Amino acid sequence: MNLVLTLLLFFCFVYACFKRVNCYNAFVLGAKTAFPLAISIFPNIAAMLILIEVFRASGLSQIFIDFLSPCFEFLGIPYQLTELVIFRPFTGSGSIALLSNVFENYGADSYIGRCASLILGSSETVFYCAAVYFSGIRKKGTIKAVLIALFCSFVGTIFGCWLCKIM
Amino acid sequence: MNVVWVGIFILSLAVSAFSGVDVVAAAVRGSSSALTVCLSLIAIYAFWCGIFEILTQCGAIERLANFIRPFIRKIYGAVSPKANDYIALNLSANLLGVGGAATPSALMAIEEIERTDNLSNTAQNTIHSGGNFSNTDFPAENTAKNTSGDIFNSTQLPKTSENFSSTNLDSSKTNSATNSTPTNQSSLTAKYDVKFSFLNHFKSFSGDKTDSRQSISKPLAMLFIINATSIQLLPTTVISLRSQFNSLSPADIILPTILCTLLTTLLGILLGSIFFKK
Repeated sequence: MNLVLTLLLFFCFVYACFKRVNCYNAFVLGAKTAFPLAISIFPNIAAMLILIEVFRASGLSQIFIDFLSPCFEFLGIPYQLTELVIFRPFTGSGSIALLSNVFENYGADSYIGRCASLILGSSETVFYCAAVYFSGIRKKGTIKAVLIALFCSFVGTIFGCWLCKIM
Repeated sequence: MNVVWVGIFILSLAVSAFSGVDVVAAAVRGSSSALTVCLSLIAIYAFWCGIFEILTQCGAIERLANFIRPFIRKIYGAVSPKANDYIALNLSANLLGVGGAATPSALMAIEEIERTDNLSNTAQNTIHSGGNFSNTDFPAENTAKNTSGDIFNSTQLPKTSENFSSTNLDSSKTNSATNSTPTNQSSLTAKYDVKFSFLNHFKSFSGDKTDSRQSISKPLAMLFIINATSIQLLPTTVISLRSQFNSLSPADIILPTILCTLLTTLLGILLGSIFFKK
């Protein structure tokens, strides 16, 4: 994948030179926008991460995990992965930390380890995405979109665990 | 979002009232990690936004976008050419698994979709209300950027300057510009528009001006759903983490992951097109 990206970037520069674009100026002009962009989504990221910290510290997450584990088990998701499934929509780095925990405790090639890999690989941080993408939008219907995305990810999770069983 | 956020927050606070956890410390921890994330995002976005600008200026994005335009039209619905470009960029970034590039391009696409949506609403309103639009509602500066095409026409053809765009613009400004040096003005606008089009994307979203009861449009919903259901071809992070933990075959999750992510995305597209009609 690194090679593909490198080649793409290489062709991008070559093509730009061929088209007589001032690459340096263009790059600087573009890079300038990165700062306001990242700053503009800071409040949304902060709101999300504060929520997740409070959620975890308060012990509510543990209650959630205890409550949801049997339901998840019923749907074919191993109970050891409930925490990962719950936190996946909120935080990318947090769920990667959880994934390494799973690998450490159960091994990367175990059934649970493979399920966890699949869950992380095939889903996205839905709430985080929603916070960032809908940051400036005050229209209704966003919750509908979030619910659709959550539902799809959940179906994907169940499907993934089932795939791990048969493959 | 508000419901989810407030709901979980209140429940957490209620629980921590019993368990006696230092909530404020946890909250500040969260917010400082948000700052760390944002700082690293600046670094990542700086690189990708720079590359995007090069790609934009050399016309590569337009080529790519034209190539997959039918596909985008089918799934996202009708979008403006510019939004089409950004969606194409976002799709390719997602497929390559470059998250750092996917988010900025998605934000640009959203900005563009919102702008054209609000613009079409404005146009409808103008027609309905007989063109009686107060200038205070639409600052001339904003409209100038939004309706660059229309201004173009009105400045080049002074006779039509009484239509749509002039009602939105600060009319005295438009008229003086039209009367004195129409061609100069229009070429200036064009120059300004090309040069700073990229910068203008990140000026605050015009959400405040929109009707809060209005639903988000289909392209916007689809863009979110497709991004939030993950369409990357290679789960690079997971694979590298697996090899770190001494997996015998770190890459054997690629096929099931692709199947899984295909299912979620297709389901998302299906549900999205059912629930978002327009």
